[in-house]
Formats: sequence, structure tokens, C-alpha cells
Amino acid sequence: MGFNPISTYCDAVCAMIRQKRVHGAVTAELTGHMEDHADYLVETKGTSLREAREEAVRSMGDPYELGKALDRLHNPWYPRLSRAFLLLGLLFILISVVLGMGGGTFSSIRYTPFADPAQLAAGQADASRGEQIVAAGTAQGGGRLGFYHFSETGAAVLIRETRDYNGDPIEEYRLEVVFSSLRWPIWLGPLVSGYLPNDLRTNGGGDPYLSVYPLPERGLFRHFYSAAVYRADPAATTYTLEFGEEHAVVYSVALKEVDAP
Amino acid sequence: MKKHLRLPTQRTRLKLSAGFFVLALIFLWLTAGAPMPLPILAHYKAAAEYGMDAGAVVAGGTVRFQSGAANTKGGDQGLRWRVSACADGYFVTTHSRVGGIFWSDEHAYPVWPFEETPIPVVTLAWGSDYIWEETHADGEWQYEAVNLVYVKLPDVARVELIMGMYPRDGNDDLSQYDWLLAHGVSADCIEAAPGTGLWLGQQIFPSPKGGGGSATLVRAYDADGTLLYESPVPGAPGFDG
Repeated sequence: MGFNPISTYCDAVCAMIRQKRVHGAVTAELTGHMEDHADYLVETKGTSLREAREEAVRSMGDPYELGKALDRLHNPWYPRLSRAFLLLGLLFILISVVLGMGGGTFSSIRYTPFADPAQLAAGQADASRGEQIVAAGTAQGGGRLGFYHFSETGAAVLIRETRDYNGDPIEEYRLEVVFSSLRWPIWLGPLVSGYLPNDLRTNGGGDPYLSVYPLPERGLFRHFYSAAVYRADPAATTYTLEFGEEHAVVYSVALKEVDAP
Repeated sequence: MKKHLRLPTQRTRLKLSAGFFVLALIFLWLTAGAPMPLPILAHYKAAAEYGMDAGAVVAGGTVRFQSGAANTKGGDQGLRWRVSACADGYFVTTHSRVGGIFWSDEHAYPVWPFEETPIPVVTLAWGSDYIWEETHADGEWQYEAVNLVYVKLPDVARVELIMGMYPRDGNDDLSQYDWLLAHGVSADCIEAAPGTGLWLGQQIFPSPKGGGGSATLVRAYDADGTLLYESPVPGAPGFDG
């Protein structure tokens, strides 16, 4: 095979392009363009093929300048960085999943973006311990405490539990009120309410007390909480519970008896 | 006509992969509990999570044990502690390193004086060290505690902290109070920050054979050395449980 100035030109251009995977495409593009030009010269001016190719190459200019320009266009760091970002991103997600599954800060968290408070409230009754829901209702209220905005509605269930006390079975009732909070900034964990003042009012008797704690269920931007009223009076039908300074979060709960399953 | 899926340009692919990387990094950070780049930021994050309206940080430092507890891997040595003004008291946090460059909160305590505990004590760090000598058949444990005491009483010039491990057995029928006076390790506290009422105490005390529970007695004196306050400890005069 004789000397082909077009392929020599293409080699010179490609020598300046660091990204080797584009060499084939650049060579094909340049060769096609110069061959078309050479064919035109042969057909219109009757130039020999060799001279027409040399003329086509000359018209392309300095191969090294063109090579440098194409190297800038096909920067080799683009695919390298893309690959590195992709691999590191996948590695971070893998570590996040491992952290979340075993021993990480969020290991006990269950992500449930569309969790229903009524279902979560019903889930607070532990059937394996003989706990039974005897009344259900809704909670209305909400409020704002620092960066946490509490939902206007919630769900409530009254749970009957039978415990063994020195051989005698005793019945106790517990009210569980489930509600949620949105928070901004998103990096805050659920509100730790143990040190906040709380208050409880009811139309029932007894000596109930209130404890608010976060549930493991978590939405994308939502935390779920349960306000548990221990030693609740089964005859009580309304409760008003508050926590935070100056009535920051208030819920009014109305209960209705449910039919035995 | 056959349609080919057009690949995005390299520049677009780079932007997309960089975006994916940043999102994955944020996801990892959130999964790790969103640790903060500075202890003070971790302090304010904890304050927000506790629903506390924390003001300026008034005191802080680094835990430096004086016993062999300093060499215990994964212990409290090097913990950072920060205290900010909060309502009628303070919000106290301790922070440990996460991933080399971040800080997460180890413990957080709102500290307010109550009627029954007008001088609250917060343990910032607790270390243990096993001492063994060839001349002894058995080694023994010793403990080191760093405590923060909040004294809101007026005219207090000196705060004394007496600590020890009150033995389960072999306490010679002494009450916790009498045992602390007889065997407890006393330390004079130093003011953590002038005018704040915050005092720091650090002491090392041995563990009794058969184990026991930690016991603490706080005493506050005025400039003349008159005892102004003594914390309620079982067996103390006037202690009613």
C-alpha cells in the first residue's frame, strides 16, 4: 500500500488527543471529510488522486493545532472524573446501607414515607402480650417547638393490658396518641422531649401520667411520635396533652369505644 | 426509522455523576447521624433536638485524664465538652470524633437547679484503668471522673467534690455519707468560667473488691470556710430519701 497523506495527517492529529477512545471517531470523521474534498478535486479539476489528497490535507491546516483543539474538546479528565464520581457515589451508598443495617445511628429506624398515624397507633398494641385496643379516636391540635412543626391531626388508641402482679392479674389501660413532626433543617434527629415540661388533662379519674417518645418509623422529612398516657382511666373519653414551654404543642384527644374483634 | 438513544455529552455525564456523588455523600452523612464539622455546631444541633433555646457557649474544653484511663482505646479521653446558657440553667454536651473530621454528641444534659438538688452535678467523662503489679496476685480497677458542678448559690468561694465507689459488701455498715467522708476521694473544684457558677472537678478513685456504685457528695463553702450547702446523700444529717 502506498503513502496516504490523509492517514498520516490523521495520525498526527490523533497524537495530540489524549483520550484514545475517540481516536477512531476522529480519524473516520477527518478521513471522510478529506476524501470527499479529494474526490471533488479529482472530478472537477482532473487532478491525480495523490495530488488531490495532498491538496485536501493542506487545506486542513496544521494537524497539531487541530489535534490540540480536539484534545481540549475531548478532555480525558471528563470520563475519568465521571467514573470516579460514580464509583465513589456507589461506595457511599453501600456504606450508608451497611451503617443503617448494623449498628449505625439509624439502625433501628424504619423508613416509611407514607406511614398512616392510625395504623402506627394500632401497631402500639402488642397482641403477643395480650394487649387489646378498646377505644380509638383522633387527636387535633399540633404546634411548633423550635425547629419542629407538629402535625395538626393524629390518631389515638386506648389499649388494655393485663399483667401478672404477684400472681394476681391486674388490668391497666394505656392511651397512645401518634402524631408527626416536620423539621427544618433536615439533619436534625427527632425531638428529645424527655426534659421538656408536659401536662395532661382528662375528664377521667385515676393518676395518669404522660410520656412522649419518638417512634422508629420515619418519613423522608417526618418523624413520628407517640404520646403515651399510662394508668389511663378507661371511662375517660377526652384528653388534652401538652408539652414544651408555654403550651407549645397541644393535642385534644376524643375517644370512641371500638367493637371487640 | 430506527431511532438510537443519544448519549449525553461527556460534560453532561460529568455533571450528572458529580450530582450523584454529592447526593450519595449527603445520604451517607445523614445515615451517620449528620455529624457536624465543629463541636460547637454539634452542641447547637443537640440543643435544637432537645428543644432548648441555647444561647452563647459560656464554657468548654477537652477531657484529659490523669490516670491510665487516658490510654483506654475508645474511652472518653479527648472528648470535647461545651456548655451554653439556656433558660434558668445550662445545656451541657460532650462530643466525640466521627470519621476523623466530624463531631457527634456523646451526651447531652439540660442542667437546672431544682429545690431538691440546688447544686446539680453532671459527669462529663468517665474512665477506667486496670492496674496490675507482679507482686500482687490480682490487679485492681481504678476510675477517673470529670464532673461539672453548677452552683447557683450566692457567696460560694469553694466547691468540694467527694467521690468514691460505695462497696456493695464490706462497707463496715457505714452509710453512704459516712463512707464517703471516711474513704471518699476529695477534690477542690476549679471554676470553669468566672461568674457562671460552673465548677469542674476531676478525681481518681479505686474500685472496691466485689464492686459497688459510684457515690458523690458536693459541698459548697463561703470565703470564710463556712459550709453553705451539702448535697443530699443517704445517711447525711437531714436526708429523708
